[in-house]
Amino acid sequence: MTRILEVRNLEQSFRLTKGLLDEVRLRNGRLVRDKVTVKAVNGISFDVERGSVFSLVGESGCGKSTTARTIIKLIEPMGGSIVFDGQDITAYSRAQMLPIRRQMQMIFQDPFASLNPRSRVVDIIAEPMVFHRVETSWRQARDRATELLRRVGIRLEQVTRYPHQFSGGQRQRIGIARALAVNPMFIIADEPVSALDVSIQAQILNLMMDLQGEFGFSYLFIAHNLSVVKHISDRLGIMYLGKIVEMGSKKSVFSNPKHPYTEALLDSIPKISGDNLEKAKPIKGEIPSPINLPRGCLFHERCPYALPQCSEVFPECTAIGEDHVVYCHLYT
Amino acid sequence: MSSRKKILEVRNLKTYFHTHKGVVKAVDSVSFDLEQGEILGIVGESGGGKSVTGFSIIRLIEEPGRIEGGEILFKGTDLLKQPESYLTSIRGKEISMVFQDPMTSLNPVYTIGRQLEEVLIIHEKLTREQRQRRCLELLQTVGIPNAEGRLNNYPHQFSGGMRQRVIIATALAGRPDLIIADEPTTALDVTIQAQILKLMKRLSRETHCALILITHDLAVISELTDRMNVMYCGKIVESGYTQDIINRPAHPYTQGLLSSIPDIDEDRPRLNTIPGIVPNMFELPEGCKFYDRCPYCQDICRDQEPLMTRVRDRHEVACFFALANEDQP
Repeated sequence: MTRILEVRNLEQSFRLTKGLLDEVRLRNGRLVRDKVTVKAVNGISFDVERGSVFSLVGESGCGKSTTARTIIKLIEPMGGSIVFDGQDITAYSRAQMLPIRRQMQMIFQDPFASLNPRSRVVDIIAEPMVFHRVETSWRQARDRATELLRRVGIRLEQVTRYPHQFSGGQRQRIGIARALAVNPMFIIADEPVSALDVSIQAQILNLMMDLQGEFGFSYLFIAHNLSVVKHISDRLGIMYLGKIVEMGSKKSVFSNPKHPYTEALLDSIPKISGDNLEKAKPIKGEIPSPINLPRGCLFHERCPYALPQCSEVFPECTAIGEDHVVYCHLYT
Repeated sequence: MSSRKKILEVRNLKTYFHTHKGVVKAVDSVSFDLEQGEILGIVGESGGGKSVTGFSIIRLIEEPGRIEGGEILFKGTDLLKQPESYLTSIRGKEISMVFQDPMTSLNPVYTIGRQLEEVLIIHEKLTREQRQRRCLELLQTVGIPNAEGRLNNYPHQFSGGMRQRVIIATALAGRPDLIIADEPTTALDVTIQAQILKLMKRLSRETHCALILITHDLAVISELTDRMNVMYCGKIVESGYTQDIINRPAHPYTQGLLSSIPDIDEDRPRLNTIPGIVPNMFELPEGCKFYDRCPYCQDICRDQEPLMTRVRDRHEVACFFALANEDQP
């Protein structure tokens, strides 16, 4: 399989202080300039194979959504490179990104905020077709939009309605149809089911997998729910404070988790069997602030197995098996 | 377990919302009871009526909502017949509540020490020193590190998980017999959720305080509760011991919910789904509320509403064709 996306050492950060006045502070009788920066993504590398599903999973603030938005260049990357379908798009301008965006679409988390409330749903789907010249006329575009909406489960008599007339699950279906409108090769789905009820979540997950089988595109799937990730992914990366700490094939990572954080995540999941929390030892403490990142391994303060070197240097990438790597001093 | 004292009996509770579009029967003839120290789960999807049930118990229903009928017997006293002043005296004392959002349920302009102390000032007769000591104990009980220093902190200085611990401490302050927790961990990350759930279970066991846990997450219910009620469109459709229901669901809705959750221990190529969506609460069907999504639906389901019937010990279900799956998950 060839790669549709290669991300290398991607970095993203946000300045919290804006302008000189905000940054100047009095410290010990001297004026100092103090820039406050949130380091959201700290040099992550991964590949997405053509026709497969790669997931980034982690808790809030780990940088998974920021990674997604940086890859599609809704925010400019601060470092590293993004190679999409053989082209290095890291420094592409907005104009250069336009043809790329036809190939790379996004499904958003909140189905209430991501659809234009003043547009009929058929027009929401037809607009990108006309804009990207996938269809030559509005009429053709609307015809194909209707067909696409039917495919995701919106009936013919509903296509001229407005977004507010649909339920959350139906709106997410419309969001998926919009992403598919321009026949993309690659879809980034940022928490597409976390706002939905469980019975609807199952419908949407099945739909996403069916469509992938039918159209053969690839997914970058962003989620915090490990059970959902396990269900949908081929490969995955576990993120903590803007770093990938463990990455590999679904089978290997779930059957043989190596990083203490991955173990802790798996231990923390409430299970239907009802006996996971009872026997597990969930980790103590909370995620440190991304403003003052700890030195060394970012997890060492919460890690039950921390070694002296863990607070000094970030661990190297270590291969555990075929398609399974971990960043942890326990294995170097 | 059944030898224990019943502390709460809810009989035919009806809470309706009178909106300009019509009447929403958010809770419709709901009955259940709760023993001392027991953990009861109420599970269902959005709009099922589980939160309204919780709020109805301590009569925190606001216009256009109204409790239309039924009985809520708390330690033998019908709360629906008592004046508002009586409710004020037991809220936060004998029954307290933990809400979903730890960001909005603390007052941002007071220190958390002050907010904890307020409960004690209202409900207990203690000296200043005794109150201080009790506040400190409470924070230590819920596992807040450096509790002494933290008493003078404001809510914004705490993370989400720590705030939820503070709220649990506030709920425990009056030594209640019942805590109603409405989605207490939904806003939290999974590692923090695990910490809070373990804490709540430990505290409920230690203090013999009964707990009603309202959540949409069946896995959380399974991890924490002794018994559970499954709600759909304002009705309890199944009720029983949690592990009994998880292992042998009798209502098609419960079965559908269970099989639509991706399970981390199991590989399935496809998830089973419940077809369709929850019906419009303004136009609920006559018979069984679930009939148009149900794979086992017959004519009788459309015309008649099924009543709760016993399938086995303390396991009841409202379905004409209760599933007889023996030891089948």
